[in-house]
Amino acid sequence: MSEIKVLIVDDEVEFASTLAERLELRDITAETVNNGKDALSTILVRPPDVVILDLKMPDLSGLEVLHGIKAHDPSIEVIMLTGHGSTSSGIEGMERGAFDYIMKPIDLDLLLEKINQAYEQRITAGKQP
Amino acid sequence: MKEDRENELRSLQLEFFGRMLAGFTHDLKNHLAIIKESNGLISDLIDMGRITDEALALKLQKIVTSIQGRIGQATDMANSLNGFAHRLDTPCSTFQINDLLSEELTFLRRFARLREIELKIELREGLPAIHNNPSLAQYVIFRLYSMALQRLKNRTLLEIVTGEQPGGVQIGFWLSGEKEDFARLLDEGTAAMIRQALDTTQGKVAELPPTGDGKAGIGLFLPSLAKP
Repeated sequence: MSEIKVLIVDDEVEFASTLAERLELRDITAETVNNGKDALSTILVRPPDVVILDLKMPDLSGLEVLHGIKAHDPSIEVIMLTGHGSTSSGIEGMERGAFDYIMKPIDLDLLLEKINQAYEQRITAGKQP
Repeated sequence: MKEDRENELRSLQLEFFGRMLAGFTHDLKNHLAIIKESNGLISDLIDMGRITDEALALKLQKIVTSIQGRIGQATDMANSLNGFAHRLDTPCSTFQINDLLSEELTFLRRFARLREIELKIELREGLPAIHNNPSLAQYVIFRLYSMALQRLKNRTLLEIVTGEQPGGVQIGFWLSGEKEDFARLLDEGTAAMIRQALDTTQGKVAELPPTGDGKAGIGLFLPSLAKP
């Protein structure tokens, strides 16, 4: 049984819940929230290992949420979700501390790979003095 | 003065159009993302043996695979449309000619298919990125492509080849048939339609030297302009 805890932050309720269900089928504990404020309050009470964060949301933008997460706990890894054709917004997220980015519609195998890598990084970072 | 104002207005219209199109394709990809995950979930349930009726599972798997393929095609189109829209964001940018051409061909292929003209694309690897006006470059490519299709007979071949040239890149359009079949390749109508775009991009269109294998070619040279 994997210990990975993932928080999915996306204003598309159906997308977030279906993705969570698919991750749960692969023994990853997945929780969903549908706006940035809920994401920031959730990480205080149930800190995840990895956050999958949509870049474009109506209240707080993905980049603002990323800033809030990193300010609270820099070891929580964030994978940005972007719907843009260009990669520039994903790269901007990485420059601001995101672990990686992935384009929508997502390739689940690729996302799983990135989740595992992000989790490993969090574990390694946690072990460092 | 009046012409300057009209050009400015035209640029603003294009920018507006680009932004609308970019927003539209963004939403389209969100819908595709949901369909893809829902379809994927059904596939997961089949793979994990949660659907016990074997015949039903087989039938569903077939449907899921078909939907998956269509989602892939629609996503490619949405990505290309999105990239296409973002080309209008700024007048000049640095881009790879192969990316620009691939994006445009997503939409142009169908015109060749309707005429049963075989399209052979050769995108040379390792080409340098160029700084120029991508939207105008795509416009000129579209005009030359349309002209080539118009000149070709049905069930023939059009080859499009990218390559490096000193100071820029070249796109060659090779039409199957001897040079004599086409007389002058670049007709006056097309030349008039691309003149201003060529002025702005500092591009050049010229007939290509014959290769001796029964093809006539026309090349578009696009230079890399100095960055401001």
